Amino acid sequence: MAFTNLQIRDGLKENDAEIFRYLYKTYGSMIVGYVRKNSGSDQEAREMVQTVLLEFWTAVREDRYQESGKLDRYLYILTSNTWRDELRRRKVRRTDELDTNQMLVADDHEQSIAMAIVKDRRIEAMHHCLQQLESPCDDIIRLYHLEEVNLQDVAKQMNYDYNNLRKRIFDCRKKLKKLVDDFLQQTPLTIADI
Amino acid sequence: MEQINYTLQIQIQAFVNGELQANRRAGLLAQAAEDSTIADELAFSQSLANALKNRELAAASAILSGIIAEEGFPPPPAPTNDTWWTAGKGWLLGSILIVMMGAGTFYGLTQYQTGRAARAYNQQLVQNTLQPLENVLLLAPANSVASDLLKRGMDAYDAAQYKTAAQALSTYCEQMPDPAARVYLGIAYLMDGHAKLAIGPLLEVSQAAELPVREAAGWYLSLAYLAENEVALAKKTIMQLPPDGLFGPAALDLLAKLQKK
Repeated sequence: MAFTNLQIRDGLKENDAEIFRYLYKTYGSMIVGYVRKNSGSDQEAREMVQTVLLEFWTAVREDRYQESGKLDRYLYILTSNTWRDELRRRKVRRTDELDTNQMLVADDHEQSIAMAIVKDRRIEAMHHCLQQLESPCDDIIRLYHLEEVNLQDVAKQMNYDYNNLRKRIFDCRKKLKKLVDDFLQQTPLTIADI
Repeated sequence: MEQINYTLQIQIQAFVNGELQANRRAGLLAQAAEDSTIADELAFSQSLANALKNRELAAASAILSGIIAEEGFPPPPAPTNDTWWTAGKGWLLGSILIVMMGAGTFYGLTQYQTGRAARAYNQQLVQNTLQPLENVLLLAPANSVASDLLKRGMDAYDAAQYKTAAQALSTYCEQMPDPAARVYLGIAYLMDGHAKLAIGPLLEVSQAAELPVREAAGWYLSLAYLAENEVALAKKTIMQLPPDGLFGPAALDLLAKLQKK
């Protein structure tokens, strides 16, 4: 079933899985073909499909996508821009390579958040596991990590002793880490594994 | 009992929030490179921050991951060659051109096209074909004079105020070696009716940039040439475009119209 641009826009705003499926089935091959043709590997092409569709999702959410244009054209240009940015970013990283190239942590603010999410499986896993985290851990983590409230204020808000709270944050993170590790072991399938 | 290093935790939190000074940031990364526990903590904190700050995007990504797992990976489209000359269609059109040249038609055609009627015809073709390229630049918040210029230029471009767009983008391009912005500058000139001015930036990008940008530059350059009644240059530029690219069908159509005339 084909959808109009307007239906696609509205569907993406609602996170409608059928719209995602339609976009994937209709434009996935085009994105793969583009990346492969421009010196990308299979795995890079796979990552790029998800990244481009997430960039498109973001453009729709931020009202940057004007649905009057041709969608295939828009996605093609978006693919070319996203792939170009990825190549450019890699070039910069290669020239910046120091003896820390074995590091597990990327100090990389150039990478788009969509690409970061696609490349880092833990983010999706964490999103899933945060919903399973029970009280008060969910509140503690949200306040401290998301809203960046300082520890004294979190302690006050939650009626905790300051030192006790510091210990609790550590415990909650540990609990979350365990959930994430378990989740990743149960669901090893990622876009790169297909 | 496990020892908790609170100082390190605070430092990691500051790192993730982008609040750590450059030298301390580098120091922490160097520590992480040597100690896998710190690297692990840092990576975990980064992922956690990304998951919390981008919950909706992570949710969308999870939906997509599920769909990809269900549907399997899409096969790439059948491979094709890179230019008109090497593609089947290119061969056919090339042959037509050679036959036309052989028969002396080319001379007559050139003569005709230098006339007023040909000029009007070409202008009409450009008018019927020219569409602004969608703005898909992913702009970071303006934090310098140059990025502010680019943002102003692209805002004007989006609002179809091509004169203003060209002014801002032209100043921006003088300062920054940005091929994508040069393409939009060329298009803004074209849309504003200044094909001659469009040729410079588009020609530069069509010869030097990476493929995606080069392709867009080539297409609009061919239109700029045509608007300037440079038919041979327009054809040559079109023939260098990939037939299965973004502008492939439109380019083929335009070339056929030019050949017909």
